[in-house]
Amino acid sequence: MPSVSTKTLPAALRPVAPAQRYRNQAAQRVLSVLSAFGGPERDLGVTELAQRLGMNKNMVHRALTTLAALGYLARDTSGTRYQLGYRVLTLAGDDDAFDIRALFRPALEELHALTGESVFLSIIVGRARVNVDWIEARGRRVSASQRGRSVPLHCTTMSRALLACLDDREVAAYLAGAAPLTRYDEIFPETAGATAQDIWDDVARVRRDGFVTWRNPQQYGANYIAFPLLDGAGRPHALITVGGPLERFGPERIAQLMPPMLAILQPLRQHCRNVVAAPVIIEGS
Amino acid sequence: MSSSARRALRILETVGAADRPLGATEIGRALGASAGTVFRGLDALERAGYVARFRSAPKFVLGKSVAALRQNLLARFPIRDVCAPYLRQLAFASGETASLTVRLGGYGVRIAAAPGTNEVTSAPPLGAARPLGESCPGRAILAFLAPGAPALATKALARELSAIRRRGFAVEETAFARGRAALAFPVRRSGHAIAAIAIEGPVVDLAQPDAHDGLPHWREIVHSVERLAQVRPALFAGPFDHLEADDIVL
Repeated sequence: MPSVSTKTLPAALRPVAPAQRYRNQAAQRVLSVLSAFGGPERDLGVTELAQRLGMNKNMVHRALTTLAALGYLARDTSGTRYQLGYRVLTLAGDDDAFDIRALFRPALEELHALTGESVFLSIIVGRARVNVDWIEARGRRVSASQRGRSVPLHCTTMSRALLACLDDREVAAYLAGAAPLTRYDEIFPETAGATAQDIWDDVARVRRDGFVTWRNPQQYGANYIAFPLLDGAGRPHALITVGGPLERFGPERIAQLMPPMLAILQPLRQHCRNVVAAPVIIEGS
Repeated sequence: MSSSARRALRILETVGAADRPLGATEIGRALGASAGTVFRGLDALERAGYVARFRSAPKFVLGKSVAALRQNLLARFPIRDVCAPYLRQLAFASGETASLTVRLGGYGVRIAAAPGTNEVTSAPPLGAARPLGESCPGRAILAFLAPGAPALATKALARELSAIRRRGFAVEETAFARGRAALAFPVRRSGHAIAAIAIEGPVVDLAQPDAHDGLPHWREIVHSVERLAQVRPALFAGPFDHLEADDIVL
């Protein structure tokens, strides 16, 4: 190793002298015991830690006692094994997984730039679809509903595009809980009068194509296309919808725009596959 | 046992609690430790990946090993995932960051947050732990704890808690918008708080917090979470439920 004068280095960059490193071994042992809890096991005992880390049981036991005394570890429910402790929570950090708006925003902007139309981001909250972000087009356009308003999963085709991402048992449980299905017909005339079979037909269509297009007769010929974004297990993260007036955003225009729209969504879909979606809990299922 | 290990873990807490990268001198001052002690501790921590240098400077931030442990522990709070969609809805409905605080013994710990849509938002980091009486979400929890809960320190706090019980949520004036308040709703199961959901921006008028148009909608979102807590208690269990409240010291 080339010798370097350490006097000119900032203090914290100076190598630690061998004698000090020896004294530091206890700290290093304790940290390697703590690191063992970063693996898939929920709890660990003295014997397996000793085997895994190549330490004797006495050393492991002392390290566990130190870590537990400071709250980095806690005894588990059995009282004989250890789990991560509450102190670990208080080591501050960020959590990007929660900010789905930040994650999807660039794609919404690209889709808006590409199509010139309004773009929406929706998620499932309980038994409803909620739009949590959108970009509105200018001039004659499809406009957004009230901020954060809940729309039942069977009302509107946009909602059904999310309903279709649940499994059959969940869809059936949802529909059973939503009866009578005509309860919200006055609020959502777009899908008024629908039967359970109509809803199942829409569900099948979304699952077959991976997207859905529809016209809203209530909104002077608004035309839409929606793409569900799923995780690796096929659970829904969100739905991205593009909507515009029929004369600008008709079936031909949508067909033309399909390849570039899919190109914008592809990286997002890849990302979603690696991250588990928030659980959807349909009460009563 | 080993005081070198204890010192290293104290250094880790100091780096973890800071809102900016810390140098060895600052850490030494905070802990009343000598420079040599701090260097040795940082050396052990850095080798194990618990701290890392910030942009190659001799200043330290938390390292990858901490992130792995935090993720592992947070994954054992199913309440975070269950609440995620509701927090997102609340953040979008109110425009402000919506967060989840769980009770750990006598503390409230903020374990999830959905960022608000307003251009200016400010929020403490995840993991921020404060005694229940000292934060707005903490007081929302304290006001609805089961009987036999901790004794109340002051009359002022007792008065505030009864106001929270009457109103159904806690308020706290925001430092940056005088006369405006953030608020926190308790998440109750069988009438007793297990967590709190807060809207962290200056959404309501401090003088008339009940008057805001958005309240019925926000309450409805929180009630949806409470209904789930009632029918699916397992989703609201935490990894420290078996510990005595008094044993948790942060």
